Amino acid sequence: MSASSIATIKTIEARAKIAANRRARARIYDRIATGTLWGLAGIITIVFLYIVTYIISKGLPFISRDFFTSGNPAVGIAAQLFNTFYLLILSLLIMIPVGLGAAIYTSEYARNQRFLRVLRFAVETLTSAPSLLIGLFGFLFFVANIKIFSVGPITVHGMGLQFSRISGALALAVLNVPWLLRTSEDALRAVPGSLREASLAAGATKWQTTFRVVIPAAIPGLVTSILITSGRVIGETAALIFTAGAGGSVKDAFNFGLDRPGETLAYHAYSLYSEPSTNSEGLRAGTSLVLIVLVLVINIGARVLGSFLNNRFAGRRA
Amino acid sequence: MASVSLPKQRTARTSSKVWDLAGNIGVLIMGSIVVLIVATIFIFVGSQAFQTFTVDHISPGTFFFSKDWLYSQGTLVLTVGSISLVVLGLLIAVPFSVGIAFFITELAPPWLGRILRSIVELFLGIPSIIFGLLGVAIVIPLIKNIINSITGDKYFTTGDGIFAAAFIVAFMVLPTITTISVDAIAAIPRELREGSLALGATRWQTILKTLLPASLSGIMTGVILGAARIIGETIAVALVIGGSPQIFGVDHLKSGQLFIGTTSVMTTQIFHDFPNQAKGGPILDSLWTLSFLLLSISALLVFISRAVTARSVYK
Repeated sequence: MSASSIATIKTIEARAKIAANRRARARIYDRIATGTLWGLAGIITIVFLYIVTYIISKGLPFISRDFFTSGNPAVGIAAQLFNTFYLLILSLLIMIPVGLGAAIYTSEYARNQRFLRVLRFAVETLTSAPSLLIGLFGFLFFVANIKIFSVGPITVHGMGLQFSRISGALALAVLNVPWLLRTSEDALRAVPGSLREASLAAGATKWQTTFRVVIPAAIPGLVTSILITSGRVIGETAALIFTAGAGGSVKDAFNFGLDRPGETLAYHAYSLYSEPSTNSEGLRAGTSLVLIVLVLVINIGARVLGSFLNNRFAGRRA
Repeated sequence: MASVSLPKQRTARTSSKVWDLAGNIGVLIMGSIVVLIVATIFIFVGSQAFQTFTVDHISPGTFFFSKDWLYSQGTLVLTVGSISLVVLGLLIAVPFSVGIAFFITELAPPWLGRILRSIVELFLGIPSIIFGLLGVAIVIPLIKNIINSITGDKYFTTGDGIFAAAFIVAFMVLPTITTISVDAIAAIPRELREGSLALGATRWQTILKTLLPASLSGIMTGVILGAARIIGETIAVALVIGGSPQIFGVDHLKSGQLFIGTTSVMTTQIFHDFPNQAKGGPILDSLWTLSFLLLSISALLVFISRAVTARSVYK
């Protein structure tokens, strides 16, 4: 064996050693990374469970029959519960025609690409606009009646609806309509194109196709989308402070006056914190519990109901 | 009989055509209403915002950089505070969210991935007031106890401040970044994974050198939308940040309380001061200016996120 070939063998051996080392190191890194990712997943699960059990364990001692039925703000949350659902229904009544209509437009009708781009940009801007800002806009436009601006002979005033349920519902609708639009657009788009083509081929108009074929097929997704939007509506606080106002008095607990102020659960939890009284800590814990249970039930319900309806409508099992 | 049914059919067809047109116009109007709402918000808030400069004659330089006029506080405290909060919040949230996204898509068995995704999505539903109250009840005492036991000074910090706020907002944007990242990673074709593994790369090398670069623009979209959410978050931040007129970093370095000192951000200032300014005047106008700034920033971030998404290869 010549000297040069021995040297070659040595370099090959050395290289093999380096490569083996590198592989071993890569395997160690792989293990560390795998462990870290499992750890992160564990942490997020634990944090979530901790939050839920913390709120439940803190709030449970204050839950009683009176807590749900008393309209007296020093004892119970009947007025706030009523307002929460009343405002939810009002805002959905405003939101669904606009949100669903616009979703039908974007998924079924839109041909003008330029307008579609503008619409999408508007929707995304509104989605990421701070809820505080929608609250201020609501205050300016719905609540107050001061002059906003004037262009030439035209002067724009606020609507002067005062701090009221209708102002709150309008603000909630503005805040959440982009969410409703996006989620229901997804639901409509998930309907297979072959259904539309079959309907159109059978001589149905676009409108008939949309209303008798696409929307019925999209019902499970649309229900999910409305429920998820409802979860967001129920948890909203910042926008309502400047529009729906405070005041969950006994008198207002069960009247439907649109002009009355409507303090919701989320706002109540905040005002119990910012203006504490003797037993506000317990009331706050109880209110937080009711709020988070409502939100979780709606969100979990949305998913379960969505997949259940999907199986029923599509005639298959998951 | 046929002669009777023919005109009937024709009217049925005409009426369905009328309905078709009405429906078309109807949904177009609903789409336009959404655009109109956004335009109205910009015009209304904008009309109030510029009064600071046109009616009150405060120069933009004074507005943004002088420390002396808004409650002797200046908007510099607020803009610096908002930017710092975004940076700190993202520093905590991004590694967490992206890690969980890779765990869900690459490591977890499908059933566990589904459960974890549901948990992350349920996080998105937790109202911000709950996050704020939890911050007051859990995070602030935790930070207070840890820092004070490290420094050995019982009164070194009260626990509230930008670090507590960053911690809270990190958990609030985690679902946004995670779900968008999961979608971006799941959109990468299988061939890329298989190619990398076939070349002998470990799973971690595949994630780091193949999947992360391939899904980066998607992940960036999530991060930018997360930033928009942090800068606009109101109640949860207002409850924990302290609301003091100290510029983050500069004033805190002097007192030796970097990261734990109290400060304020734009949303907190608007939230606290707006109700006290019913009479109007320069301070109310300046709050509108800040609001318009917030609105413009979120529109800008949306614009950037759209540009980034348009550049992504796998969708």
